[in-house]
Amino acid sequence: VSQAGASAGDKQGGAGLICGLTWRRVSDGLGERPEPVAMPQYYFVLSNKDGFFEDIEGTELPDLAAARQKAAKDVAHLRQPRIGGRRSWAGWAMQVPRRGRRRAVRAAVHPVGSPR
Amino acid sequence: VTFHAPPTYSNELLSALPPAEMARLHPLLTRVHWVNGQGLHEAGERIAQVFFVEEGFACLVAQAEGASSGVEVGLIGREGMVGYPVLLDPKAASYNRAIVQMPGSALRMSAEALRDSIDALPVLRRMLFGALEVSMAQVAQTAACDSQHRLLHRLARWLLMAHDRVDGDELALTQEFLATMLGVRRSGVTIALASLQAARLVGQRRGRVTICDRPGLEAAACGCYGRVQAFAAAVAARIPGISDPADLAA
Repeated sequence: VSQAGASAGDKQGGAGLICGLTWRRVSDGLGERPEPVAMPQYYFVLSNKDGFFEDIEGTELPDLAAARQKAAKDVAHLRQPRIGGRRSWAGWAMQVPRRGRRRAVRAAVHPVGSPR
Repeated sequence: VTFHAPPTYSNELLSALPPAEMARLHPLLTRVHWVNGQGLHEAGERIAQVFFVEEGFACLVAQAEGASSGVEVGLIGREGMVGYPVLLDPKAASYNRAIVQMPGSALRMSAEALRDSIDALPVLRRMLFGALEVSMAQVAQTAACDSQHRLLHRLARWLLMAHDRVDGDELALTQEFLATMLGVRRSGVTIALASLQAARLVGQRRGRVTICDRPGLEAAACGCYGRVQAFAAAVAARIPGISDPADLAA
């Protein structure tokens, strides 16, 4: 089974995201056909010691390695001032809570920089 | 003799027409319901049908060469029509992809019927050319805004544009969807939305964004939103007396 598609636009190859589901090609006595693959949901919580940004949607990814890769890309993305703002990100970290245990607590978002 | 009440439209272009033009147009329109994500026009394909939006909105999606997904370059709601290139050429192809972004309904018409109608109906023609002018301004402003402004301001502007085109204060949108439309990663949208929420301008839960403080959101958006609004008002003021079609014959 090849690597699952990284984006909704990636429909080529053995697996990809179609209609929000990930499919893989299976081949058995019944012939070759696509079959949906259940993937774990990962939540990416950005936090420092004072608060956190909740990830309310989560992302389906094949494994923890893919989650680690996504977190690295997200952090790099947020470091761009035009995306993450001019705030200092010192002390902030993006963490993925243990699989299946979504943080249920809703805390106030740390007010980093006014929206103006 | 039976009297028929004149048709009523939610579309702002159609509802501004004088009764005579409305009566000519009415039999050419078919009401269609829109579902979320439905493709209306595909990039590079001929525009066979145009859509006068009644409820919900569509967006124009442009594709950067080599990018995995397109970005939003314009929104069209009940102030407009999807398929402006047909005004210039009945055989026009769509450069952008047009998709339904907020489900609703529209009045559909064939490209040929639209062309015949704009030749025969002067108020419709003026209204549509005005709407085209505003749409061009909006696309240009979106490009300028995307290249210069911070995500937070762009997001605020996008939410205002969407809010203008729906009834009520709730927008059925996921962060993932907003990220795709704005051409950023979802983590960026998470932070920007959280900042707007912290300032009590919007509320959010999964798949839903609520506009809580419209004036505050306008203040938080970049001036790009106001620029297009002002331009639209100027265009509308220039279209002479819709109530007096004689003005338009000239």
